[in-house]
Amino acid sequence: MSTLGPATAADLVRRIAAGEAGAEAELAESCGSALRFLARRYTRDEADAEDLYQGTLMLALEKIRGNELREPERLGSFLRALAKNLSIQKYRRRSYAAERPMDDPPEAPDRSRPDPLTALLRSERAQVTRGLLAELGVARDREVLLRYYIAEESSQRICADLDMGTDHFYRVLHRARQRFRRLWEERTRSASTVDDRKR
Amino acid sequence: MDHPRIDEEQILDRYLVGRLSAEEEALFEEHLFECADCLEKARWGEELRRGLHEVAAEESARAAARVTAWVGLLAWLRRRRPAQLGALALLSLALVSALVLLPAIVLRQQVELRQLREEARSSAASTGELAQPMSGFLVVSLGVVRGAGSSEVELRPDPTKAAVLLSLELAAVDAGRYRVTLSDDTGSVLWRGEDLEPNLYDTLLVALPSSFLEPGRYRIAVENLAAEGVEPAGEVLLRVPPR
Repeated sequence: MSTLGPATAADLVRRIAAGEAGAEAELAESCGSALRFLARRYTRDEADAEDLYQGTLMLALEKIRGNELREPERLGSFLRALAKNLSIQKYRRRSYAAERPMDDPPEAPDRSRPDPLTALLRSERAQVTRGLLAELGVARDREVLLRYYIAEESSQRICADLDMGTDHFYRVLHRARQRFRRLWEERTRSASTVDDRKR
Repeated sequence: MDHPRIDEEQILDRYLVGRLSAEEEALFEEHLFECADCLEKARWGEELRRGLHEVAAEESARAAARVTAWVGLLAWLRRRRPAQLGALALLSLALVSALVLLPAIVLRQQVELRQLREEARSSAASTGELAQPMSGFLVVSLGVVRGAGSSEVELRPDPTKAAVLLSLELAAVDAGRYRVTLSDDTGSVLWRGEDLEPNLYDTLLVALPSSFLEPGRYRIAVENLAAEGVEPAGEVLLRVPPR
């Protein structure tokens, strides 16, 4: 995964503006992971996230080519702001369309049901999460996760209720993330092994 | 945003649950473009957070489905007429009764079965010699003679033997079953065995306890239980001398 420091960012912006071949692909490569992550976080939907990612990248390239970027060394901040604004605009358009009278055609297809890819990913994620919850030997660890991520209680309150130190609390979260990642990767590995055998 | 601050202020965990200020969030997200390590952590943290939400949503949906089913049932009941409601109540009562009674019946049968087994065990224990393999028979082979005038056979029961096994060889092979009657010299019937079946050697086997045959005279009458009626098949006369 490539990343983007301030100097690299400024150089990349300069080369894109100069029309250098390959610089635009380099931008997608170095910023793609972070931008995709943010797009998913802003939209909470796989298909919308991909649209937002593509839209942000295209708009960013247009602006860079037109020398509209004032702080080239802060390319990450620029991309983030673009993605955020586009997602807000999209959300507003969708809300507006939903409030319009029925004689206006709907702007987008019905989003109350997730697309098949999103549904599949959700189902897999839920299964891995169930596996993680089952694997957690200490009931208190499960409680920490559920209260922090689902009930969105503050860490102070959870620590006070469970008589737990803050360091320990964050260690539980950290360990849970690591376990979740391991379970997910194991699942992906076993799925690809099955696919290989089928072939 | 630098790593010491991210670690000290638990920026990642707070970011995942949306507890950063707008400024902190912007700085951290900007940092994600520069730091692959934090981006990885954020990605897996986000997946975990979403997974937990999805599990919680599934659980809620299940609970909601249960509630909806109950509400639907109540709404449906509200639309029924009183007679229909009465019939439904009776049906429910019958169903509940069956559900309650069925285990009780099964339980009762299990108890009875256990009692029967215990009785059989105690009965076998009380007649221990019959429940156990036996030895020490006095075997007496007797030929059944058709008609009257058979000669008397002397029988000396051995007091050390538990029983006398009489092997009654039939005079003729008649199909069907037999009745054997043991009577004393006064004609009193001491024992009668009905519906006896001869073995492969056309012999009827009768076991009598040794104590049964006190000194005296006895007659063993054998009758064929034919379809057309009972027919005499012969007799054996016994004499048990004084000990």
